[in-house]
Amino acid sequence: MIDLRATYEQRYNDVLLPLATNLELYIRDIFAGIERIDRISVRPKSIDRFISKSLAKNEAGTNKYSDPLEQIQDQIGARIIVLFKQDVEKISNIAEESFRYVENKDVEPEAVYEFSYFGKHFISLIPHDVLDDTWPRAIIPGFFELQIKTVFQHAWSEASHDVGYKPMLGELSREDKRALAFASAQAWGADKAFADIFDQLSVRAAMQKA
Amino acid sequence: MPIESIHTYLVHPRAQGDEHRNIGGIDVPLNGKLFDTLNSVYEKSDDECDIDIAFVPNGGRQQNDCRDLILSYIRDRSLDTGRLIANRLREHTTNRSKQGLLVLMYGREGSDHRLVISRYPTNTGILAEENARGLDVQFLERVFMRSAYSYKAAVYQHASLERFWDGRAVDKQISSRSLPTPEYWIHGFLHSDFRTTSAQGTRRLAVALKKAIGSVDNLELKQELVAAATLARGMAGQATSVSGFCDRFNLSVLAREAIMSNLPNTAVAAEQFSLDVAVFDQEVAYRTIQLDSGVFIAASAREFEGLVNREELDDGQERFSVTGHIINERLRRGSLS
Repeated sequence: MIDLRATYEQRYNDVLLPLATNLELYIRDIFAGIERIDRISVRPKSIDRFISKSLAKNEAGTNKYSDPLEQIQDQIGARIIVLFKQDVEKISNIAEESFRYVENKDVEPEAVYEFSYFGKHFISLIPHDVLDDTWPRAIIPGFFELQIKTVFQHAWSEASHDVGYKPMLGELSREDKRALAFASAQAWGADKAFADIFDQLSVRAAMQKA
Repeated sequence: MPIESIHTYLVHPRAQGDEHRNIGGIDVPLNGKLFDTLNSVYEKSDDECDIDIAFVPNGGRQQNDCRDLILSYIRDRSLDTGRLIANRLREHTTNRSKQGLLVLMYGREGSDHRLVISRYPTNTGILAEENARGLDVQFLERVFMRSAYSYKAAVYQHASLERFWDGRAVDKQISSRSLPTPEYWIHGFLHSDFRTTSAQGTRRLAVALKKAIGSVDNLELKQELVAAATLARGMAGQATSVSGFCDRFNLSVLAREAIMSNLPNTAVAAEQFSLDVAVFDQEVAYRTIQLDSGVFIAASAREFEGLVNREELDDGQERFSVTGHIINERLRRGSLS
């Protein structure tokens, strides 16, 4: 029986931290010069968050992960935050060409009238370019997660993570959950407003050029 | 002895109506001459399979039909689970490829699982045996040889089956420039692609080349590298690697070293990818501005804005300014017209 915390802690310090630094530089280089990227960040999943995720249960109440060190694929998480919804698509197209992904999905609520988390997620193979020959092969993760979101989607997910997934002051009430959905709808509306304005400005600029 | 099981199947090309025909296969005993031959293939598979590949996901989900068959086979190794892989190979084998012998070899390397999948093409041969009366010669119709140009293999290895998303393959037809790139082994049967995307690999080559050009002082060496960069456009869409690129243009040892020393690590030099000229140009291209005064300003297209200051003047003219140390200055013959 391995000590999961100690094993992950060693992986975190020996490989994940330097790997995240290398991957961030690599991603910054790919997207250099592209307009309206608010920020790019890459970081390893913290030891506490990894341990917490490794204990997740299925609906049936059994352990979701039988081998968390291999099955948890977001031990390295990369984020690209952009200004407008149109930019999410543009950046996603470049990401599709630049990384060998094994999963590519738009994460959004199932029903069209629901509001919660929105974002574009990729699970990609770690590019060999960011590896160091001296790292022990056995503890290098195989994948990283890349999230591409607007600033409003990002703001909502960061704020709701603390109050929703990691309740600071106890469980959320129905009213609290409704307020979170309302905030998500507001963020969605803000994205739509800016996307519409951006589209209109682009049309006007094209007409002026013509 | 790391090999734990070997299954082999004779796979004919697909033909209408034979979808339900059972593919013949046997469980190969783990001793004897056949085993010795296959064991050597298993042991050499790491060196022989030199193309890094990855399974292609199905519609963005983490699922791939070929991968599913491979995992099922590893979890329950039997003639029947292996036959499902053979069936898949039949579906992707055309008449042009003729029949082949599929061999599945599974073993453990320490805590790692290792699966080697090989396909031996059919060939003909002559068997000559000396006996008391002289020589006995026979024509052999079905001989399976690894040395043949269309031998193919793939190897997957990791301690966790979760990680069986990437592996390595060999396809001797891909290496042969005289033949069209065969799609059926890597793209069809394995439903995989190069692990390195075109954009990834091309950027890796272009950045290393650009840095190499910038780092060498010797003018001849610089010119050799610039010439290779210029000729790279002719390789559009071709499978190559950083090492393959150096071989293709027969680069000198110093030029090759200059490129290799600008790679992030040694392992990436051999990784294959399809060269994407648009990406290459983006990284290596120079942006040039010519003024009516006769002055040319040239800089790397990607860095142009940061390197060249541009100022609009009231009379419609523009002022450009650049800063740096002079490292080379030459006179060129030019036309005054």
